[in-house]
Amino acid sequence: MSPARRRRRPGRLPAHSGTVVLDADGLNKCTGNVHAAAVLRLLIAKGWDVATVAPVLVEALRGDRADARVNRLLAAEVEIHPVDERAARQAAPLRAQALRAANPSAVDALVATLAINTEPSAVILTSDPGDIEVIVSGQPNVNVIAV
Amino acid sequence: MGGNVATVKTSLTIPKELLDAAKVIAGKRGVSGLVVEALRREVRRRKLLDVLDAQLAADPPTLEELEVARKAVQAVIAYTDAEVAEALPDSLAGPARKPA
Repeated sequence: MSPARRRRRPGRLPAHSGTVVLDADGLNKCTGNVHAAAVLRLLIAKGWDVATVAPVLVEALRGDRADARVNRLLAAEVEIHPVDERAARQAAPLRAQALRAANPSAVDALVATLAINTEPSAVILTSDPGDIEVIVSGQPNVNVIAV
Repeated sequence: MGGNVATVKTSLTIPKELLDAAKVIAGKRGVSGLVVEALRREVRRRKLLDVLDAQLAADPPTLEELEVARKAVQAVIAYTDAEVAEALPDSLAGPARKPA
C-alpha cells in the first residue's frame, strides 16, 4: 500500500451511513477480538455511528476490572439507548414471533428493535447471529455481521 | 446528550452554498443545531477510531484477518477496496503479523 494512498485527510467528513448496533457479544468482541475490531473500525471510518441498548450492559459488564476494555469503548461515546415501555412493547411481538424458529432473549429482541428503528440502515455485530437474524429477517434496513 | 450544557457563541467561516443548503434543511434558526450535530458526530467518530486504533496497534491483525473483516463488511454495505484501504489506520500499514 503506497504512502500516498494512505495519507490522512482530516478535513473530509464521511457521510452518515447508518448505525452499528452492538449486542453483548459484539461489544465484548470489539474490545478483545482483532476481527471484530477491524470490522467495527471499517464501519466507523465509513461514517457509521455505534449504538447499543442499556440492557446489553447487564450482559456485557461484570462490575470488576475486566470491564475496563468495554468501558473504554463505551466512554468513546457509544450511544446507549434507554429502553422504555414503547421499545419493550415493540420488541415483545418480534420476540414472540421469532420464538417459533429460534430462541432469542429479551435483550436480543431489544437490540433488534433498535436496529429496525434506525434510519437509514443498521448493521448488528454479534457472535451469535442465529437468534437475531430470525428477528430481523425481512427488514431491508438491517444486516447482521457475525464477529 | 442534552441537559444543562454550557454553550459559547463563536464564528465560523462556512462556504456560502453550504450555509444556504443548511438553511434549506434546518431553517435559518436551525443552522447552529445542525452544525453542532455534525461536529458532535465527528468528534464521537474520531474518539471511537482512536480507541480502536490503539487496540489494533497493540494486537495487529494479520493480512488474513483484515481480508476476512473486509469481506464481511463488503458483504453488507457498498465499500470499495480503495475505500477500505484508505480507512485502515496507519499503524496497520507496516508488515502485518503472520497468522499463528
